[in-house]
Amino acid sequence: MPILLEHVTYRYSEPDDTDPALLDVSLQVPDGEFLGVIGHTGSGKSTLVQLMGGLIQPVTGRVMVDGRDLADRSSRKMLRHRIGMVFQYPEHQLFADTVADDVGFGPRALGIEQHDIERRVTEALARVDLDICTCGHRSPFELSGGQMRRVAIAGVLAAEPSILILDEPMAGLDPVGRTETAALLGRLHRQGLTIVMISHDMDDIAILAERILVLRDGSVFAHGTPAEVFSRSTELREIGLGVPHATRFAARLTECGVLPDDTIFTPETLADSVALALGHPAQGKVI
Amino acid sequence: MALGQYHKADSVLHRMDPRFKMLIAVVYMLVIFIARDAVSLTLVLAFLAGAIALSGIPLRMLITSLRPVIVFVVFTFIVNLVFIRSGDVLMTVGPLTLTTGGLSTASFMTIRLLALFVSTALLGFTTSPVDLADGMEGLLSPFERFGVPAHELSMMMSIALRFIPILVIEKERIVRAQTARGADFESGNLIARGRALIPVLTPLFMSAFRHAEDLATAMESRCYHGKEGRTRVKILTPGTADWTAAAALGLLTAALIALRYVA
Repeated sequence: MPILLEHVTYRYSEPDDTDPALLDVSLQVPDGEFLGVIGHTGSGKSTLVQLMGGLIQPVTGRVMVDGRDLADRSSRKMLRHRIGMVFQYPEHQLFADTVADDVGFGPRALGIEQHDIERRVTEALARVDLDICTCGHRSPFELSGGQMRRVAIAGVLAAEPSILILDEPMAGLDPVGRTETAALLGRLHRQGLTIVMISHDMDDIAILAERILVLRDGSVFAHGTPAEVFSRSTELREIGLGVPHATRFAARLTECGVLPDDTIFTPETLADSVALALGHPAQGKVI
Repeated sequence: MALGQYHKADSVLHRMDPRFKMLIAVVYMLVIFIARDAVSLTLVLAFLAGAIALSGIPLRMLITSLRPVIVFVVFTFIVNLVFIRSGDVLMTVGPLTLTTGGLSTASFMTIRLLALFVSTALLGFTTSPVDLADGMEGLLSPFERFGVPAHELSMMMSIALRFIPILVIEKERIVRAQTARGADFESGNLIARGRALIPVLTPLFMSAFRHAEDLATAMESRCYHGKEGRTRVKILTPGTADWTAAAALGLLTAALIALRYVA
């Protein structure tokens, strides 16, 4: 489902003299797109995703999801289960005695029939690479950190959303957990989910996102493909953000005259370009 | 109830020794109930007015802090007014008879309650959580020889006060997350609403335990090992304001006792 923001402004405290958390943001996320959101602390990322989820309402402007205005209570209610929100450290919201029970919480709250709940729980766990038979009856609190996070994400997927919004889904995970989560998000995206992900990690964003939104002090600083956004590396560094490791490395190689001037942002394209520059055919594989 | 809503300012009351402030507040609350006639009640209120004037707390803020108890106060007033029958009959409305005795008892009770709540609020507004804990430790330390763990109690209190805002933020986060998953906290009967709290309370307890463990580790790695051998940054010493306030309260108490038992 597409998301549309029209001149959205949001303020946390009432009097107008305070700085708005978001100022006149207009944005379109087409159906099935993977949008990466980056920005400094306090740039308005979390506010933006909460607006997209309908958890808060803009002071001025409109947030439209699937053509419906989220300011309207009935359309919010209708869209609530279609928009899945994964907050920071989602494993902190686990509460039930068993993994299956916790994942089924969303569907139960939506009033879905019992046999359908069981199907959804099995499917949601399978989507995050967990088997209902081996871990469905276990307590979520005896799992590893990475597994707990995947259970929490399964709990959101069980409502079968069309849009998945994630706030720092990889924060605090070990390298294995990060790779697993990144692979999971890539898979979900290929299954047709519209995904909006906040991340501090430029490498994750570069690999996963189709388009990137850069926020600065509540306004849109840049919005475009990874190649477009990361080609402005000097400006990004000026506002306190980095570029992917591959981009930085490629820039050094361009300075040395090894590579032509071209924006590279994934390890694979970097490897391909270097191989090409050295006279070998490209072999990098696409993740 | 008023504790933990410290309002930072620089006033006579803010600078007072927390031990004196707490003790004076407690004694004052007891003294309020000695006052039985208009003159004594005026004296009681005058003392409170003086404290408010010296506190630097905006009157509006004090009044707002009374909001949670207003229902209770109004309820007490009505119960006293309706059920106490003495003196002359003022008016009769259906089965209800309002009397002068009822009216005066109800008014006295309401004023006493308000004075009680305002004095508690005043203590909370002018004393930081750290000062409250220090004051409590100071007041309890004479009882240490009878086995009262004064230092531990005050440490527990200051940690508890410190964690209220953190847990409030945590609760909001969890409510948001569960709402996004479809939880409904606003409809259904009392039992349904109570059950709806489980997905919030369980994660909240988990998070409280997590915070507690982190804090314990942090305290231990900074070599905290209880009271033994600990020194203080701020050594409490009563000043002129403290002794003056104590003397004023002594005078007030003496006057009230005289008015009630001698006159």
